[in-house]
Amino acid sequence: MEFFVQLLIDGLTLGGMYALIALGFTLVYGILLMINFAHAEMFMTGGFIGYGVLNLLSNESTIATASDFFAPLSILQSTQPFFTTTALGFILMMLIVFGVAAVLTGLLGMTIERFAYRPLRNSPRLCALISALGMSLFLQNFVLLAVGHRMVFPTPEFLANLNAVPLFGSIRIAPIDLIIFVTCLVLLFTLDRFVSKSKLGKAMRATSQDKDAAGLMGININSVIALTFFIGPALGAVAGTFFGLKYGVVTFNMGLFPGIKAFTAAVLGGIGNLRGAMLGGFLIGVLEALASGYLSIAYRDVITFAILILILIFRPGGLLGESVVEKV
Amino acid sequence: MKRKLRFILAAMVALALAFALVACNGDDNGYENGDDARNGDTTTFVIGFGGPISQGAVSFGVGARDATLLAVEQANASDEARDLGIQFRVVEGDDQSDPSMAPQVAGALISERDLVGVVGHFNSGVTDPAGLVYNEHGVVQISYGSTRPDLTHMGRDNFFRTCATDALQGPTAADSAWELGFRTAVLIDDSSPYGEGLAAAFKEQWENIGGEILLEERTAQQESDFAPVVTRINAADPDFVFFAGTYDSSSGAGAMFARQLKDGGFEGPTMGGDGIQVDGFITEAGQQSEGTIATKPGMPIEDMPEGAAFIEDFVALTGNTPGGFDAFAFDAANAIINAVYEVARADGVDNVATPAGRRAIIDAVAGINFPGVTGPVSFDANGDSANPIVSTFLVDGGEWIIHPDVSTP
Repeated sequence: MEFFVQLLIDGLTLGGMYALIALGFTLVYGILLMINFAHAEMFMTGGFIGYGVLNLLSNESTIATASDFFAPLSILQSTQPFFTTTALGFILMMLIVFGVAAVLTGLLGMTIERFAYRPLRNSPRLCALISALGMSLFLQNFVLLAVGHRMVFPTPEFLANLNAVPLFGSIRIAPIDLIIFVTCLVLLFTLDRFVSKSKLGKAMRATSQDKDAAGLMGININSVIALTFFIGPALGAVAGTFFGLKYGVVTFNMGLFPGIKAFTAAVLGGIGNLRGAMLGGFLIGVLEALASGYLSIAYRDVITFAILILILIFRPGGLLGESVVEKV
Repeated sequence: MKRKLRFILAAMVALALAFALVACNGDDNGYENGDDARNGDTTTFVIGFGGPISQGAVSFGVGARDATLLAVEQANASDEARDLGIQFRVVEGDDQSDPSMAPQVAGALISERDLVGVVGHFNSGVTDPAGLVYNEHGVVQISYGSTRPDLTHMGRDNFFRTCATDALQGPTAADSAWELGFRTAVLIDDSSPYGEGLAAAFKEQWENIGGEILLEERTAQQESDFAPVVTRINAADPDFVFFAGTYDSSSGAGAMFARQLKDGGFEGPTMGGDGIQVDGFITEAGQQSEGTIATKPGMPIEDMPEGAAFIEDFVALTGNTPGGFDAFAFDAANAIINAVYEVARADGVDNVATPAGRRAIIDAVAGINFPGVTGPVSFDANGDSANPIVSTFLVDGGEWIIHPDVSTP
């Protein structure tokens, strides 16, 4: 029993990250009916930006180099101990790191949409798909050349000193896992509310149902699509930074496998459906954990994809994919 | 008009990018090989280097490349080379630790007209397919770090290696673990040719001496999440975990694994082979790497017979301290260089870079015997190092030290 619960916790943490990435796939598909293959690279870029900001705030030697380059940055030297050792400072630093990573990656997503996808919006759908593949390769190789193939993520002292949280029995949850899980839930909930209640969310849903009609009703289609391309990558960036914090390293090709898994999650839940993507993400995470826990880690993809195929045979639209009205 | 402007702008941006890329590349390859010292009477031979330079297990590739350059630079300055009228230069092949790159990297090296031998490759899974190409063309290949045992048992008489193999490393790891008082193990390999070979060699000896294996797992090289495996390990509760694989996130997952194992609350140590015995492992696994044990062919470079001089020269050339298998690459390059001298003396310089000359080089390497950095360099009938040594290391205070509680064999 304890074994099962521990696996469940492992799976939910991983699933939370998958869900965050899957949302980016599903949002774009819902509105443009396009699979944004460059989205996995948003996850990767977000991780690298998160790495840069965290390093700048917490790593003494980076701060020293940066202040040689740009003198006012030396103020970071005095804030560094506060950020890395105290609880309040740590939370503040995390907010800054995630905020900057999300906003910059979101802006990058909007830029890509503007230059790589918008000119192709009225071309055959295959063109945009190829453009997305090209973007993906470009970003990977750009990061490889400009930054490096692998960056070791710094672990803030405060986080390193936290002990695992015991739940009951021998079950324990690592602090970073807890942070990931809670943040994912908060973000997913907020996004869900945003799309279903706010005016902009309504505009997004309208655009996904019928772009032309929505345009006639006075919705600025271009800005709604741009917003979509901001939200998706921003969530991806959060997942990418979590990846770095949890696994200790970001690599230029780290988007590949999480990207495939998240895309699978989006399809499993019903692509185009927000709650479907969340459900799919958590489901895949848990399935992977259970498969590798009870069988072998070598079987985990076999089991996961076998279940995906089964579900798609019996429910071709995905788990929650039926109600076309809800798609965003 | 507007469209035309746009096109010109795009073309300019593309050009600027292209130049930037070329400039980046130029920086990477940074060393000159002293070609300018040539006059009409000298012949320049090519020594190929194959290993991961830009991606993959780069910390085992870049230093080894530099060690090869160092060997060549010293040879070019030597009296022997001057008397014979020989110079060498290094052509590097970047295999990125990727087996599917191997044939094309090897093919590029083979196409060098004056190629006399190849130092490389590092990953066992790359050394094998690349070796096929060298074998076909009858060029001597000396690997500096591929430890999979059966590489020297494939009927390729042009293949040699300067490092010890997992046939020795696996049993040494098992013996060390036993000596440290461990009795139960979980065995994990990363599905790479190297990992499988090491795991099998470890398992055989471990069970022979009475050790117990509670769980065997096989992961993929690109795996990043090990939480469920850690949960299984915690449930099995072994004395230690043996991880047969490499450390870095693009060609193996040792550091991520060790990190998550500690984060998951496992108290015992992780143990591994030479694939994780590298500074990059400590950097990536952070403080969770403390207490990790690893075996590695050879000994610390400073304890090697000619280690001090090697370190000094290496630092002078590159500005970095040598690590990994760099000393083995240095010895491999020197084996080729010495064989070339031998053949040049016997058959004349003009006959070295011919099919017959390359054949003669292979025979010369087979019979070579000289004092190298790592000890006497000579090969047995299979092409394995005749003087293999394996040491056991421990991460203590953020660096690899010789394990104080393990007696050296």
